[in-house]
Amino acid sequence: MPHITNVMICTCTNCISNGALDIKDSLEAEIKQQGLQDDVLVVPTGASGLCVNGPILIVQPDGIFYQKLKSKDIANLVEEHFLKGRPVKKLMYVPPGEESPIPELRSIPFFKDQRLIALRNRGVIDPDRIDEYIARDGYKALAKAVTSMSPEEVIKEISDSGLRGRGGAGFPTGRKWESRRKDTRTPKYVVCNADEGDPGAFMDRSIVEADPHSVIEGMAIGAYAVGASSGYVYIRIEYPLAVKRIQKAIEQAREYGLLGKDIFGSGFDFDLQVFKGAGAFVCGETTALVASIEGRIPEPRQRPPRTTLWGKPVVINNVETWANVPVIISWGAKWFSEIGTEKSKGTKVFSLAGNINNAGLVEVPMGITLREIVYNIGGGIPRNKEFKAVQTGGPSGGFIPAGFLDLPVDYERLAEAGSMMGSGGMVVMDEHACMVEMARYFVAFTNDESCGKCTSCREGSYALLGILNRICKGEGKEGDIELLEELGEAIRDASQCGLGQSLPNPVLSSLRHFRDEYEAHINEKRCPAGVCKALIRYTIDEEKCTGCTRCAKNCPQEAIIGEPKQPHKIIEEKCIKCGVCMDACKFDAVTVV
Amino acid sequence: MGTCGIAAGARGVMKALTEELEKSDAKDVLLSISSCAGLCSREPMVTIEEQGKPAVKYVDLTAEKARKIFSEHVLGGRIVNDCALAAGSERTL
Ligand SMILES: Cc1cc2nc3c(=O)[nH]c(=O)nc-3n(C[C@H](O)[C@H](O)[C@H](O)COP(=O)(O)O)c2cc1C
Repeated sequence: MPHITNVMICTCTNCISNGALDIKDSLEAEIKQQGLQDDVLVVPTGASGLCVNGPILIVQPDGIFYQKLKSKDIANLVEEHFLKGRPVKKLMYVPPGEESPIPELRSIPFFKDQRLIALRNRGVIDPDRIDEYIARDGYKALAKAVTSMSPEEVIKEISDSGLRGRGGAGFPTGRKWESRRKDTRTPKYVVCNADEGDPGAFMDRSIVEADPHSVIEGMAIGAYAVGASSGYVYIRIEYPLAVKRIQKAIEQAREYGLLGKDIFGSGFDFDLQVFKGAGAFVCGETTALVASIEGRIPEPRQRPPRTTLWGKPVVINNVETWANVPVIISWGAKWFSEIGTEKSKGTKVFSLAGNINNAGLVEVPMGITLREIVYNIGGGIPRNKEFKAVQTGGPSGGFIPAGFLDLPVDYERLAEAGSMMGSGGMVVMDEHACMVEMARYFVAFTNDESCGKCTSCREGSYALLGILNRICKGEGKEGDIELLEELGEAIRDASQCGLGQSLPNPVLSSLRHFRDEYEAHINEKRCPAGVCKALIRYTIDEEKCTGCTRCAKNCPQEAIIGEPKQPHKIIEEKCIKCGVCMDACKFDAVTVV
Repeated sequence: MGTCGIAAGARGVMKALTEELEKSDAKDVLLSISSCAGLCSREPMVTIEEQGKPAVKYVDLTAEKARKIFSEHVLGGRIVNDCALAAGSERTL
């Protein structure tokens, strides 16, 4: 495989006399140390012409120029630039006349592999000003749809583009619209699902905050296609800024005649209102969502029959799905369908969180590998810790272990790996995460959020949680793993809505990929990651302890004793296993056993 | 000024820039908000767009750094290297 990055080091006489060969050796050693030898190749070259500032390095393909290097700079340079993707400004060459050595935005790994479609206006427009959205071709797609396309043509364009729902299940959007178009009952409705209840996910909030008009325009196009004249943005009240922005955007669109009667003189009427949900996870499920809008208790119901609102046809799509629609109408289905994989077209927005250097919101073409997302865009794991797993799909999803890092991200591949695309939450975990505890966390969440209608979900999640609590406390028994699996499958089969059907996923997928951790908890009463408090003990290594007293001073329980300059000791009965001593110790003397 | 930026202190940065702009009497400077630019871990961020030049993104800002950027970059035309991330724009569409 070719190397991703080539580092050209000038080995002309001049640079050699300035120490270029030492630099080359330390570079190669450091690259190996960081495990980057397959990605980064050091290439000795002839005189670069700037050798008075030698030793010199040119990093390709970024085209970044480093000068006057010293051996002591190399470790930092390799870590920052090659591992985390942040070029080191203070070592860069400044061409005379150019005052700025700042790199090109698109050469920075965080931005390089991203492609913004749903987030096309992020960070560049003022979301409170409709004029700024319009200046970037906003509402052009709506004009095109209502003045020059029939509703059927709009639906065909969306179908041909291959767009699938971004809210979790990946249902083909065009097919959903077509079925509602054919439904003869009127009036019809469109709804934007901005409930976003998964812990760790913030894609939809960011889209609504950054570019509310993209959602409004998408909804207006969808309404035209299916024959609806009104719609709702269903958004949780815990997103106050997003609520404010979408409300303001709707008012502005009305003022400009982009919502209301006879839009673009086409005879098409459409208006929109915001519905604030109280913020229950289950309200994101479509049948519960409509119940909530209708003023009923948000309990999901069996489907079919298809979800309706006030007994009438309704199209419910996710925020990101709607935000893609105007671009597809403007640029065409063919253009869109060329991005992504065979069955997953376009891009996907992910919120990157957890043990990752560049936490944030990223939009990438479908088919990109998890490795690219975690290491290139995300900049890897803080403090060079080992990657353990990435959790996708939130409480309905699963854990994907290191062995699957080269998995291309699309709906099918993630499902095959035992997880799901979900709405796009991606939580990265390092070696210090306990998978049993993580599964327990998600089940505690779904147990709390279960609406209680189906016994399998209500009682099943409670039973799962009980077993997981026991295992984490060191009270696991033989047969627990089999019971978790059997129970998980039963809950999945017997629950009416997606919440119950998917809540066992974190348990089943962690059992699939990290079974040995469950076994260690149950059989050996040991938590390999050193997380579950009942199974760990903190100790101080006498050899390493210098008696600096930092641990004892920081301990909230006064559980550490010892004379200054003498090795310290933890009194186990007093210790609450908070880990403060471990963080405080500068000599790595505190360890978990 | 998305939730992430505000949580990291964007309001203080905005306030500093508003004050500097008022003090300066500059007539050709437009101060405007935008929302999450993606790199939430480096918020608050500010982008300076000058006509005919690539936009410059600044990261990890404080009110103090923002004042410096205002006087040196906005008024003086010199990029403040210590807090600049990069120049240019992202790939859209
Ligand atoms: C428990 C549960 C929670 C859900 N939460 C959301 C949500 O917050 N946002 C969302 O768009 N879809 C959510 N969904 C998926 C929706 O039911 C539905 O599939 C989606 O809104 C359809 O839009 P799409 O086709 O554009 O993805 C949830 C599903 C379940 C079962």
